[in-house]
Formats: sequence, C-alpha cells, structure tokens
Amino acid sequence: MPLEPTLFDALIIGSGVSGSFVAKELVSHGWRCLMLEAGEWLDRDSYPTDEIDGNGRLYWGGGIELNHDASMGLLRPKVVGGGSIVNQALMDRFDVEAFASWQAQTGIADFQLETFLPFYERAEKELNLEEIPRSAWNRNAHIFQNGFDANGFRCKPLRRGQKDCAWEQGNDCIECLNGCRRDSKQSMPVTVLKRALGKGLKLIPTFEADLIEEKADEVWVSGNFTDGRRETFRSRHIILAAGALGNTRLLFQSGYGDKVPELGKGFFNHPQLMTFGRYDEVVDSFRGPFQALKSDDPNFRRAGFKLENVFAPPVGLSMLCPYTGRRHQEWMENLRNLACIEVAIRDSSPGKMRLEKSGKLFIEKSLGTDDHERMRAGVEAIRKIYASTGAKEVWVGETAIGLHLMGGCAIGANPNKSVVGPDFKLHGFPRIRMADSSIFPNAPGINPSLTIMAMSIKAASQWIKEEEKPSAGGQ
Amino acid sequence: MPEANKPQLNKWQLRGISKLGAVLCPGTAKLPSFSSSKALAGADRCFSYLTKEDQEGLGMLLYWLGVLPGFVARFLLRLVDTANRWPRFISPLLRLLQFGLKGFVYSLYYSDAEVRKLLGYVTSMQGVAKL
Repeated sequence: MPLEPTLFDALIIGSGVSGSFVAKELVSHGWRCLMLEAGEWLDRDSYPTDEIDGNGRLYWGGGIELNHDASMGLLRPKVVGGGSIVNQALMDRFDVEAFASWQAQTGIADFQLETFLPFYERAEKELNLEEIPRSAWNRNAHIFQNGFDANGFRCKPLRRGQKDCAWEQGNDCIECLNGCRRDSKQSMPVTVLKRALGKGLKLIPTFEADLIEEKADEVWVSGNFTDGRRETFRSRHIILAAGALGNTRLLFQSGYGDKVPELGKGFFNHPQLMTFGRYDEVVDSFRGPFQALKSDDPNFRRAGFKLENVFAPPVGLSMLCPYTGRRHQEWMENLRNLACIEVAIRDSSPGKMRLEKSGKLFIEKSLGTDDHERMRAGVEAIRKIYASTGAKEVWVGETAIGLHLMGGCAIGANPNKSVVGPDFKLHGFPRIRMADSSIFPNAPGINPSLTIMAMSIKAASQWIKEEEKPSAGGQ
Repeated sequence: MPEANKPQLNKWQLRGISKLGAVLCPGTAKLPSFSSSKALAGADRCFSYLTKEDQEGLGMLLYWLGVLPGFVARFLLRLVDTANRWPRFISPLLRLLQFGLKGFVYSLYYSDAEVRKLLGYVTSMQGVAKL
C-alpha cells in the first residue's frame, strides 16, 4: 500500500463547515494540514444543473440514505464544502436554553452563550450575512407572514450567508441547492476554505478514508480514491470533520466501537415534514429567495418545533406528493399554486448507529411519543396558517427528512457517558479530535451551522494553545 | 468514459423501468406519459449514482419487472403504497421499495426539461456575484 512520505501536523477528514474552519485556524498558526474529502471538487462552472446529477453527485447514497425501517430519509452531502454547498446558508446562534441543555447533559461549564460569543463573532466575520429584504420576498413568504400575523404567531427573517444574489435579475435561489453558480452563497470553497488553501492547506478530493491506525507518535489514515487506488497518509493528529454519520462510521471501521462504548449513541436529526397549501392563485414558491422567514415564537420553541417557508424542486416535490399515477401527476400540475411550510422538531428520542458486517452503517432512529406530539403541534399551527390565508387544500408529507445530522460521538466530561472530552479529543485517544455536529450531545432545535463554525474555532484555538508550534519531522 | 455516461442497464431492465413509468406517469391532458417523454434517456446516468448494493438490488428487480407481464409492476406499486398498513416485519421492506422504485422513476420523469416546462417550473441563475 503506497505510504505518503510527508508527516503532517493534522489530517482533516471532511471539508465541510467544521473541517474548513478548523483548517483555517490551524494553518494560520503554522500547522501543516492535509484535508481529505470523499466528494468531488466542484465550482460554479461545474455544479450540476439538473436534479439527477445534483442528487447523485452531491450526496451519499445517490441522493438519500434511509434509517432502519425506511421511515426517515437522511440527506448527507458528499462534495468539497459539504453542507455549505447544498444548504441555504442559514446562520443562527444558539439561545441560552440550547446551551443550558448542553451544559446540563455534558457537565461542561463552557457551554454557555457568554463563552461562545467571541467565537460566534469570529465565525460571522468570515461570512457576509444578510436578511432577505421584504421587497424581494416571493408570494410564499408573504403567505407565511400573513398567516403568522392572522394567528398571532411571531416570525422573523432568516439570516443567511450570501452576497449579491441579484434577484432583480430573475435569479432563483432554489438553483443553489445544487451549488451556487453565482458564488453568492457563502459556501466554504468561496470563503473560509479558500482562505485556508491560500495559507497552505493541501486538499485531496475523491478520497474516502476507511481506516485509522495509531502508531507510536503518529496516526495513519488509509482509504481509497474513487479510481480504486489505495493510499495511506501520516500525521501527528487527525481531525474528524465528516459529520455524525461519517465520523461514527470511520471510528467503528477502525475498531473504536469496543474501546469507546458510547460511540454511535445519541443520534439526532431535527426531523422535518414538508407541508403544502394549494391556492387558487399562482404562488411560485420557487421564485427568488425561496427561503426567507422562520418562526420566532417562544410558544413554538417551548413546544419543541420551528417553522420555515421553503420549497423543493420537482423531483423532491414528487417524492413528497400524495397519490400514484394520473392523480399524482394532476397533483404535481398544481406546482405553481403551492405554498410550502416545513416543520422541524427538536427531537428528544436519541437514535443509535452501529456497523453492519457488510460495512454499512445501520441507523436506528424513530420518532418518540414526545417527538410525534411536537410534530403534531407544528402541523396544527401550519394548518391554521394555511386556513387563514385561503388555501383550498392542505397536504402534509408523510416521510420525515433529516438534514441536520448530529451526534454519535457525543461530547461530555464523563468518559463513561460520552465519546469526546471537553478538549474535543476522543476519550483515551488524544490524537483523534473532532468539533463538528457529530459531538452534539442533543438536538438544539436551532440550525446548527453557525455553532459548528464557532465550536470548530474554539476547539482549534484550544489545540493551538496546547502546543505553540508543533514540530513536524519525517520529511 | 465517465461512469455516468456508460450504458448501465440492459434492455430488460429498461423495459422494467418503462413498465413502472407507465403506471406512475400515465400522462394527463397537460403532462406527457412516461413513454412519450424523454425520461428514459437519463436512466443509465441515474443508475450510475446508486451504491453498488442498491444497483444490485434494483437492477435485479428491474430485470424481473421487464421480463414479467405488466400487471406485476402495477401490483407491486399498489402493494408498496400500502406499506404503512403492514406489520413491522414487512413494512420497512415495502417502504424501501417505494423509495427505490418511485424515486428512480420520478427522478427520470421530473428531471425531463419538457416536463418541468409544462409544470411551469422554469428557474434561472445568471451572472457572477461581486465579492
């Protein structure tokens, strides 16, 4: 097996939000870093332009992965830039309650808003953040706002990482679900990752790591390129930034399941249902900035759900639509007359992951009684919104989708109840580190992206402090 | 030749897709039937993105649907639509089939540019951001 001769200071597995932020911090302090990414390195000239290529090239599993009983779909990006390529770049800070629940569960005092404020500020400085001005809202956003007003609910604009989207020129942000072809979206390859590469980060795409081996003073990571070539890279530390499923699977594959008994436990994913209201007039929910508003209602937060105005392109929509055959097609013909609101819950029933003999990750995850109640309460609020704004028919999707994949390598002070310690290192294996969504101890009920960025800066800062400048020999 | 452009499916498997398409997308006054759309042209590309495990499973099923009479495809699609009504030992398999079969056919049909145009789903992304 070819062995790459360079000994790096850090190998970073995964090029999404966490990997990019960690990389930028480390290379800025002189660390020699190599980033390994399973997906392709695409850009605005090469992002897919149709849904077949978009689903197939940008996600694991050809577009979607399923939980143990196929009742839930999980979307896991596989591309340089990770989730920042396919998401809507929503940037929310956690609230006091989210941190309090983390502090209580982990026993880590640092989980409080005050501690995280400077890291949030540093993360926010790396991106251009905007709210969608009312003048740019599409009709779906107006229905959302009117329905909230009519029912006494509170909502507010989403804060998004974007710049110069030029909606007045007819641009539709739904196109950016396959990567932003304007580079308006503040994805990692046009922001933080680009800066890290400028400071000396090395990036190898289309390489899937499948084995971690600890040697005397270094760690080896082996895997395959998509063309079948196998290679091994050496480093002093490895930073796992492949997300809840990726990190968990790699650790299981490398034999850490027996050494760290909590591995794979505590999987959460903010399950969401999409709902549709059919109106007599054209809504064109896919026009312009198709996702502009979110609920900001303390009652919703207490009840464990949030609402956002969203939409999906035709293939995605068809999988959520009811009926079969002609009736299904006739329903799809209403596409331009559909408003769409999604309910996402703060799931309280943890899932569990384990490795099957075939090497496939088995994901056991269901909605518990509390979760069903949260979903029911959210759908009830949505029905009121549609009813008060003149919808002629309402359809609630049946399949829950998980976009925010969290946990499996939960952080905590107690090694018997967690996988990663307060130092963001695997309990008992300090060369293996992580600070992405895989270490979430529970579901915050808030978009995780900005907090992953803040946490990654915090973790990297701690590691840098521990050793002023590592000595990387072995050239 | 990139994997996505290589022929992946044999004639029986393509026939199986067409039979599923005939049931799922028979056509309306506004939308074409699966067979009169250009949906099947994307089948090899779509199949190439599946995992090896899914390719084996779906490929085998499509082959048998291609070989067997059309009513088998109709029956199977009706069966998977009732997935949630079955006991737990069988419902996951039916839901998996529902995802696989409907997902594959709908991906082909609703990616067809003409179908999207007829739905009124025409989107745009122009220019380069001033960063």
